[in-house]
Amino acid sequence: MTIAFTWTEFFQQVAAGIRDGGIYASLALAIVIIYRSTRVINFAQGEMATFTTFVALSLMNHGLSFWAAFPIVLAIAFAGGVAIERVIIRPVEGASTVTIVIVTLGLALLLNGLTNVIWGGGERQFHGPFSTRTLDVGGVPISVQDIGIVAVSIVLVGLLALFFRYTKLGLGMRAAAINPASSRLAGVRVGWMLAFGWGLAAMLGAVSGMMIAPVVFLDPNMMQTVLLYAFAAAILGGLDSPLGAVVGGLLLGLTIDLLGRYVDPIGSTLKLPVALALILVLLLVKPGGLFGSVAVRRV
Amino acid sequence: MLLELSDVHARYGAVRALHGVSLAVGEAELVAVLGANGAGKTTTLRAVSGTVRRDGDIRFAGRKLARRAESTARAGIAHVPEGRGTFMELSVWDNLRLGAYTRRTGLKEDAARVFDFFPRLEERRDQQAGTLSGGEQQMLALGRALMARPRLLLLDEPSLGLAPLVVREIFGALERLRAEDGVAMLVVEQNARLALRAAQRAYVLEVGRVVVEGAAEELRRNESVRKSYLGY
Repeated sequence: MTIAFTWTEFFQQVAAGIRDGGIYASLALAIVIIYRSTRVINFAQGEMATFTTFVALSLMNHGLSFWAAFPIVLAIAFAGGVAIERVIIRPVEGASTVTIVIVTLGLALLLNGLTNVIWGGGERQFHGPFSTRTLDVGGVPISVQDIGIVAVSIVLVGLLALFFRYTKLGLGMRAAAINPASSRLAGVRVGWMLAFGWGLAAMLGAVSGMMIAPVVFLDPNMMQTVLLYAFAAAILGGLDSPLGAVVGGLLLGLTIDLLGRYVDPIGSTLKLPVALALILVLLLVKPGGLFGSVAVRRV
Repeated sequence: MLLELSDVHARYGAVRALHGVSLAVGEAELVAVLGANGAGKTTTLRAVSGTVRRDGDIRFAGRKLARRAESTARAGIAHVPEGRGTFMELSVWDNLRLGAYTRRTGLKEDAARVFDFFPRLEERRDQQAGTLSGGEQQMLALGRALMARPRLLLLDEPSLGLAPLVVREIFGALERLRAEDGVAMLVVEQNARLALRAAQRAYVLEVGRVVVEGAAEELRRNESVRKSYLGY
């Protein structure tokens, strides 16, 4: 089935691509933050996000508005992330990669099970903060929701960048990730920095969950595909580069939305394999990803 | 005495590295720790800063020192470890900010003091630390330590791999720090000749024990000590 090309529709697709990219970027950023500080690939990142989105749903069912529930959910996510690091990850710190991967996979299953037990399976409607009305942006109708999601992603990434760059806590977290031994000598409480990293990542995940739930439907497996895209975005950007995660997320969102729409055989079913194939090709050319920085060293 | 170690033992897993080391550093005193490779010099510093498992009593300013690196840093001890501990990916300025991590105020004044010691760091303020030359990195390591406004500096091989001119600049700064700011220092050095010129007192370690101690001046003049332990 081919629909005639119109520029209006093209720009609508671009907007949707940026919206999806923003969501992938937030989750990819969460993966990168944890990877940088604890060298753990957190396979539970998606289920953590889903769980907190269900918490948001419960709060809203109790009569809170989205924006009233939002900070509460963020606080719960942060505390939960810190607790997970301290209780579940800390005991296997320094264990082999396989062990840690299995632990995070187990955590993903556990959270998925918990979500099913508490809220039950099946899809729910999740009413986001933005209306689905369209606005006329230079002749192209774009939904308020898409604009809102992009705006939230931008604000989030901006705040995070400011936090890491200008606050003492942010500096301590960066230092603990780069050189834990030397950080301890400077008086940085490295253990807590790593736990805070997990807390921040959980918050980012919560935001991406609450942003995507109104676009799709909320169900206990909602984030599983999103997580795959987020992994792809993080690797595309270079896994240890926060900037790379954001750029990777946006590029990925745009590319696959446009390919899915305009390249006939891809459609919506082949999006994921095509995305992964593209990344594979890129990694063959540039093994470190787009922004995977190799630190310059002179001795 | 500002720092006192009595009968300190330390080990890496099953390997014992210190067999009862006792030594002391006074206020505003530069004390050198000398000895061959594997004598336990680096481990002695690590025992003080709490970065190796140790037993035995270590007192700092009259109080028993906790065994965690974060706590010794907060107590006023700055350790520039083997390999300098530079945060390569961060800027020179962020490295200095980290030095002052345990403090709340006075960042600007202390940075000005560091830049006064090492003007080259000010020129490279926004550069990534990993791109500095070896000498500049040693200056940065020292600068980072100074930002903590320490009462005691632990320095591991400050002259290692540096050109003679840079070594002179570094040791000149150490002497100024000691004389003007009253900072005490425990310095591990391979280069015994250099260390004995800068230090007031020195200890010579051999397989984890102190075998010789005394005023630097005396050690320098004692030919048998020089020949048997210091190799010059």
